Order: sequence, then C-alpha cells, then structure tokens
Amino acid sequence: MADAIFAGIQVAMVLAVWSYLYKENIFSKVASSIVISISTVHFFLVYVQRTIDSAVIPLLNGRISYIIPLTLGLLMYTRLTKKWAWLSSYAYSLQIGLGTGSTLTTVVASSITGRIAMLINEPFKGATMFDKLSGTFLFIGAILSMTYWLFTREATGIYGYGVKIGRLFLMASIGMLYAEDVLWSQSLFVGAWEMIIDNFIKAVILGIPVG
Amino acid sequence: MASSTFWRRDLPLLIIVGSAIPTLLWRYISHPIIDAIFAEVGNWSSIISMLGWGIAVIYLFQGEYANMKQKPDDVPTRAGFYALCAFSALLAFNSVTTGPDKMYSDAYQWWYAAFYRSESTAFYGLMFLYLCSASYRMLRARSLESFVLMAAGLLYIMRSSSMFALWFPWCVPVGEWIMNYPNKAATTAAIISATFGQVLIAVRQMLGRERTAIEVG
Amino acid sequence: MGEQRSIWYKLGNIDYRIIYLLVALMTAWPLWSPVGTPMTVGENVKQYAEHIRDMEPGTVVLCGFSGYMTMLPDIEPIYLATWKMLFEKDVKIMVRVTDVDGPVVIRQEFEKIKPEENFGKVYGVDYMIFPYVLMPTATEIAFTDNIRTVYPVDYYGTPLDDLPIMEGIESMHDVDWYFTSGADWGNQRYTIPYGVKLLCWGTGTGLLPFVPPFYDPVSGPCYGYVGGASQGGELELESGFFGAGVKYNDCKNLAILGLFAFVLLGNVSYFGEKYLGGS
Repeated sequence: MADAIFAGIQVAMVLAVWSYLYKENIFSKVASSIVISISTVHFFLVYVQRTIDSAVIPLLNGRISYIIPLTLGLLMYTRLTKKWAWLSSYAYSLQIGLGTGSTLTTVVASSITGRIAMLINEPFKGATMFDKLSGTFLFIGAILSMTYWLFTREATGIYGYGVKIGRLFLMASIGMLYAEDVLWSQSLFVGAWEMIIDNFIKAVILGIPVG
Repeated sequence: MASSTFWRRDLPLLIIVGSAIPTLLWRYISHPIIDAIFAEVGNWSSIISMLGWGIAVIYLFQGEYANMKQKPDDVPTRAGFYALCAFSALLAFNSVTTGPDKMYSDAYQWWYAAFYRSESTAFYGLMFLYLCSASYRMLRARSLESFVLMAAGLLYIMRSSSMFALWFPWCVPVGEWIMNYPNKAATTAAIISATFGQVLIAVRQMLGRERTAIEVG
Repeated sequence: MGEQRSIWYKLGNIDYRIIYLLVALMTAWPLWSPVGTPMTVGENVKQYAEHIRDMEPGTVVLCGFSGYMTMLPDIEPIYLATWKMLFEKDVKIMVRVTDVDGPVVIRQEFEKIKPEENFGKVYGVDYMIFPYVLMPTATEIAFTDNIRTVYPVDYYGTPLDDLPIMEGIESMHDVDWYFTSGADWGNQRYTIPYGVKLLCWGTGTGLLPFVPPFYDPVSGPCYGYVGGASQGGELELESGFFGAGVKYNDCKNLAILGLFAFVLLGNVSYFGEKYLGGS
C-alpha cells in the first residue's frame, strides 16, 4: 500500500509539473513551490544540524576557537539590515582569501602549465600517423581558439583568419555541449516517464512486476 | 571617518591577505604549525558557509511573499506561497520529530523521494522537449559556423545512440574523435584563458584592487 | 486577408506542441513495450572498466558521490555499475558524500547494491561512508591533508579510528584512485599535490565536454571517464551488471530518431526556401 501511495504521489507530481506545458496553473505553481521549499529548506535543516554537530557542540566542549566562524557566520545576517550590512564582508573576505590562496597555487599548475605541457606533447604522443596528425590538429586548434579571447587587438588580416578558424573549434565544442544537454535532459525525461509507466501504471494499476 | 574606512575597507582586505597567506604557505612549506592552522581555518570555512545558508531561506520567503502581495488576485501565486510555507513547515516538523540526527530516517527519505525526486526530475525532463523544439528551429546549416555546431552535436548524439552506432558504425570513432580533438582543443583553450583571468582576479583581490566581491551595503 | 505561405515555410514552422507530443510518445513507447535495440561500448568506457579491473588487492579507492537526486536518472547507472565492479574486487572503498541530497540518496544506493548480501563485504572493513560536510575550498584542502580533521566520525557516527578500513589512511597520500565528477577540480585538489589517479564519473552535460583536456588513459591525470546514462548503459553492458542504463537505451534511441527527423525537416525547409523559393 505504501508503495502504491508513493508511486501515486510521484505520478501526481510529475503530471502537475508537466501541466506547465499547457500554461502556468495552480498545480504547476504548487509543484514548483514544493521543489523550491525542499531544495532550500532541506539544505537549511541539514546545515543547521551539521553546524550544531561540527561547531556548537565542540564549542560547548571547550573548543573556543569555533566562536570565530560562528560569529562570522552570524555576521552574514547583517546583510538584512542596511546600516550594518558591511559587517558581513568580514565573512566573505575570509572565504575569498582562502579561495585566492588556493587559486594561486594548484590552479596554475593544473589549468595553465599542466594544460600547456599537454598541448605541446599532443602532436608527438600518438601511436599512429593519424593520431599524430590529430594531435597536431588539436595543438593548432587550441592556439587558434585562444585567440578568440584576445580582446586587445582587432581581428583583421592573417590574425583575423586565425580567430575565424578558432571560432570553428569553439563551435564544435559548443555543439558537443548542446548534444550533451540533449542527452542529459533526455535521461531525466525518461526517468519521469518511468515513474508514470513502470512504477505506477505497470506496477500499481496492472500489477505487472517491473525489473 | 578614517576609522570607518579602516573597518569597512581595510580590515576586509587584511582578512583576504591574511587568509590567503596560510593557503600559499601550506602549499609550499610543510610544517606542523601551518598544517594545523590550515586544518582549523578549513573547518571555519565550512561552518561559515553552512550558517550563511539561512539567508537564502529568508530571501526566498521574502521574495515569494512580495510576489504574492504584488499579485493579490492571482490564485496560482497565492497557492504557491501557501504550499511553500506548508511544505517547509512539514519538512521542519519531520526533521525535528524524528530527531536531529535522524534526518535521513526512512520517513524523511520517503517524503523526500516521493516529492522531490519526481518533481525535480520532471522539471529538468521538460528541458528535453524544449531542446527538441529548439534543435528543430536552431540546428540549421545557415553558415559554416552553424553547420560545424550542428554536425558536431548530431555526430556526438549519434555516437551516444546505440541504434545509430549499429546502422552507421563509423559514427562511434568519429564522435569520439570530435570529443577528443576539436572539442579538447577548444575546452583546453577555454580552461587556459579562464584560468589566466582567475589568477588575475586573485592577484587583484590580494592587492585590494578587486573589491566587488566584498563590497556590501 | 491571409498570406499564402509556401510548403517550405510550413515545413520549417511546425507547431511546437506537435514536436512535444511526438517526441514524448516516442520516448514513452519503449517503456511500455521494449524494443530491444542493440548496444555498443565506446572506447572511453572500455578503458574506464579496464582500470577498475586492473586494480590490485588492497587498493584504496575514494569515491566522490554527489548523489544529486534530480540527476539520478542520468548518473545512477554509472554509480551502481562502478560500485558493483569495485565490490567484486578486494579493494578498500571510501565514499564521500559531496551534495546535500547525498546522505539521503547514498542509503538507497547501497540498499540496491547490498554489498554484504551480494558481495560478502563488511561495512567498516571493506567499505565506509563519510557524512556530508559542506566543502568550500579551504575545507576541501584541509580534508586532503588530514582526513580526520574534517571527518572525525563516519556517516553513522562511528569514530574513524574504530573502523578497520581506516587503519593507515590519514590523508590523500594514502589514496590510490579518486572517482570524481570534475577532472579539472580533481586535478587541482588531488593529482597536483598528492599524485592521486582520477577516474571521472558524472552527468553527461556536467562532465563529458570538459574532461578531455585532462584525459589520458596512460599518463592521466584522468585515466578514464564515463558520463551520462547512455555511457552508463555501456558500462553496464561492459561489466555485466545490467540496470537502468540498458533499460533506458530503447527510449533514448527512439526519441533521438524523432529529434533527428525534426532537425532534417528544419534543414529541408531552410534550403527549400532558400534555393527553390517561397513567399
């Protein structure tokens, strides 16, 4: 019985969301409110629980240093007042500082020097002539693609052709991104249909075992 | 006035520099004190972020309430706001009554999966229909660039579809080649370029030149 | 006075509701009546599976599990097939929950796998789960340097020192492989400072287009990747652990056929209007 109610709720919710395809209505609005409420309030509840476990209890047990992050965290709520909003910048500053330090260390090695080294190696590492040619193609494509982000020079002459060819590589990449979006959203669409057809119509209404 | 500038502008900057330095030191110098400081500050960072989430909840309710006030006669908007309040209260009640450490209890999981999984999956699933309609209107060979976009996208979809892979076996290696060469070239270029920008902003932040992120009020 | 439109124009301006309806029906039909379209396995999926098969006994594996409930249809086939492959081997598995939904979803996932029943594994000895902790950059780095500073206890509240699996595992230096949903991020946090090898799993849209710059099956940092339900189905096929990925295959195939038909129609309309004329 619990399974049938569970499947019934799921189907009702899916149909409520899809009713938006016709136009916004009371069902789709309620469904979207429930999603928003879960995705924010659930997060909030988890974080409250985690804050109690990982900061408040250790503080009460004598870990005095945790008074600093708790105070900084609470200072973020000063954003809700106009007069004291600037106090919240202390909390942001700490987070930004930590992120900045990290950016200046591993990110450079990972995403600049590491990638440049990879690019230089590409033309030489393939096992076959075709792989080597593809690697060279990649190397040239990456250099030309980078010219797209150089805004300090006008794209004219030979340089202009380079930018145009680079743009073709970017288009291929955007095409792939688009394809992935299609495939990804398709998986979710199938997942929603599965709740209707497999979990509800077949399993609950018709009593057919679903594998 | 000078004092106000210190508290509002200079102290946040000092915090940025002061917290960035342990990270830099930790990376290059291995010392128990630096490690201990970093571990401690690492936990602080998590605690601050978790506490800050409450602001999102407050803003959500503020925004939805204001929206309802703006459209007093709109029944869906009103119903949406009441559903938001009711369901939030239900979640809070559920988590409190099942005990703070039992948020992942069977009852809580049941609610969560029944409502959230179905609705969020259905919402994002709708994107597929929108993308199909968009593909029909957008994926047309109007220029060389739009042709390349279309061809790369369709070939990769073909590579991922077993039916096409069976009918046209060549589309598997071709799709993977596009992924591993032209796409790799463009994403590598994007990563390198974006990281240069990221480093530039990091340096500017440490020098106090990039204030947008901490400018409040 | 209605304007006369050419056939090309009409072909290029089909009502979007017709597209929605046809594509929705083509997606749903195979769930009602499976077609059984055959499948093939891509090279990257084979390499990913090969790296798992080649893991030596005692290898320490850390899995970054986002468990974002919304994305489950796209990613669950990969999680389940990967874990089943890992549980078949004598490796140490640690799971790190990286998303707020994760703690809810992870239990459901392991209830599906049943490691004790199906693979003879013991919690705390062969595998363990970390609780969810929000991980900004600094916390992440603190975790990599000393796991116990961020996670003094496991998912069930047991101190890490009481779990036999955690013996000798102090930091990322002691981890051999990391399953991550982002090669770039994984490279920054794990490969550069600790030399941990990466295998990437994730949603198609969040992982696949961005992973190639870090992918090299021989020298890493990303040694293999699988993204999205389609490749999840391929992994199921490759591993022999069939699940939703294979089941979704029919639906995905038919709907893609519909999509291609509409794209073709759009282009026929465009070129027809351009070269054969139309008002």
